[in-house]
Amino acid sequence: MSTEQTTLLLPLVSTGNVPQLSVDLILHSLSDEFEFVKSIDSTFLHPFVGPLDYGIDQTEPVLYTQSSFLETPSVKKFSTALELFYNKSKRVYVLQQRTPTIQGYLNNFIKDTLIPLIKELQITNISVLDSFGPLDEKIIKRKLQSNNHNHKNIDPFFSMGVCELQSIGNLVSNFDSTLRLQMDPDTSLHYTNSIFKFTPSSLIDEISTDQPIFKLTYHLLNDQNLTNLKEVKYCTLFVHEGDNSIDAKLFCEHLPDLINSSSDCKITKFRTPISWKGVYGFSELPSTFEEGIYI
Amino acid sequence: MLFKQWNELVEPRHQLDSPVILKNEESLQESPLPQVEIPSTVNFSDYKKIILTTKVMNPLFPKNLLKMEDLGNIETTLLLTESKMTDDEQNHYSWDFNENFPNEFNPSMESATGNNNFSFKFPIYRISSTDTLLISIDENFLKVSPIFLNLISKKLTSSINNDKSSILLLGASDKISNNIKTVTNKNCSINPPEFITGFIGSLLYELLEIGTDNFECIIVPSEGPIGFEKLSLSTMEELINQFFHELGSQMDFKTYYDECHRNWKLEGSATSTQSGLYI
Repeated sequence: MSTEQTTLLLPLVSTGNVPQLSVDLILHSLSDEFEFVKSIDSTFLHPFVGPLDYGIDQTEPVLYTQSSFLETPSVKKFSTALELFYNKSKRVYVLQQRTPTIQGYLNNFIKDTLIPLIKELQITNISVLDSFGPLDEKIIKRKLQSNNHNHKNIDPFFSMGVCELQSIGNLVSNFDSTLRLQMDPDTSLHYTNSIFKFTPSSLIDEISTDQPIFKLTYHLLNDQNLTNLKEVKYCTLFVHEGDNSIDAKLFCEHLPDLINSSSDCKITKFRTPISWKGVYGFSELPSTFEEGIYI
Repeated sequence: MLFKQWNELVEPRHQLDSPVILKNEESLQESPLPQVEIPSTVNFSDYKKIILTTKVMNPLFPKNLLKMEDLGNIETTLLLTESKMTDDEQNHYSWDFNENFPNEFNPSMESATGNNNFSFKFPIYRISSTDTLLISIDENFLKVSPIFLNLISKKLTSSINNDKSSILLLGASDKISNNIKTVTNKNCSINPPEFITGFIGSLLYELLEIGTDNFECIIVPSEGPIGFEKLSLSTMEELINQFFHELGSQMDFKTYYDECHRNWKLEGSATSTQSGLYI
């Protein structure tokens, strides 16, 4: 078993598509470090075939054309719903998921697509990117009701929790008691605050059992063969739906937290992909509108 | 039917409308996969061309004019067991409904039987004059979950991939700009942020995965969601011209032209058919 750490960044399809946009930014801003590895089976995702994406100041899709994983990179013409990229210097794999999971098949997707991939790549650390917004009432309502926090030191947007699997045996055998599920009488949903240990500045401190992150962690914890896995990190951002490129940028500023890398991995120059053109962007607001338009 | 793409309740952007397969959102069980059956009597390598398309293109293939012969159906079924239903639905009544109201219809049974099983049939036609096979899927984002489309595509591509037949995919998309796009294994004429989804997207993905170069995919611009696409008159003209040559010119062009237009109008797939000053 390798002692070196191999990380997988996993975006969930969530409010404002912020995790997916963040992965776009990471891949294209660091396109000289990342390379396309392969397309992953997307039976459980909404169908998608698109052209190859590239940075707005680039002339060719370098993530693909300079990939050492492809025998003949020039033959690659299409991108698909689920693609794997690798950064050799930082030992980081990034999965880009371009379409949502089909309703009812999230458990299949996790067990039949993600877990075999995690095994194959011998991943030690998984960082899951998520987002939630004002419409996610289940999360927001519970947050407003709980008064446990000292609000002064809370980050209004970013939350991060860690699930350490060093004692995975104990965790699995005592799974039910360790979970300490609580039921919300209003929604009859169950919540747990014992899987992830959230940082003191996190806005949230629990997850509910209908959230994809709960299902993912449940299946990871219950798979006896994931012997390499040491840690699952969960990062989520509070966002409002709209042009979410700034949220994605904010998420990317936490990249060093996400990949635990000893080498410097801050993105110094953000490069947006050409597919964002006309939809998302970092252009400044015209100064004449700086006070906003109100009626 | 007049379909409105927008509604007053704002749905989050990342949630796509699709039929609900699993009602219990807290479930940790894997869902069963639909079974797909293709009639064994259909031998795909007997045909020079196989056209795979969706319902919006049906008007291009008038049955009588092309003397189409029905060869059977692609059948797909998904059986869900009781345990897949929500607890809430199973225990909707704390007492036995049938015992108390033996002659009444149990509303909880309706939702159970109505949503428990999914079954769809899509016909396979032979266009004898040109040695062509036609398969058209009635995709509909309200009724047919993409899991069916993905599994039909998987089964179809593995069945039809042979050296003798060339494959033509024909679809419509509102995610591409205003030109007809032709896509092959070697030529991707779509540019970011255009993309292809739905049944044709699923087929294209499977064909690319197999690595065959024996196919061509034509995507035309449309408006409206999956299953409710509308085509512009100019797009229809181009399609009619192209497929008149494709399907053999034994027909009279005027008759074919009129029949295609008539069918599109009847199906409400033409953008011009519902232009009135009302909503």
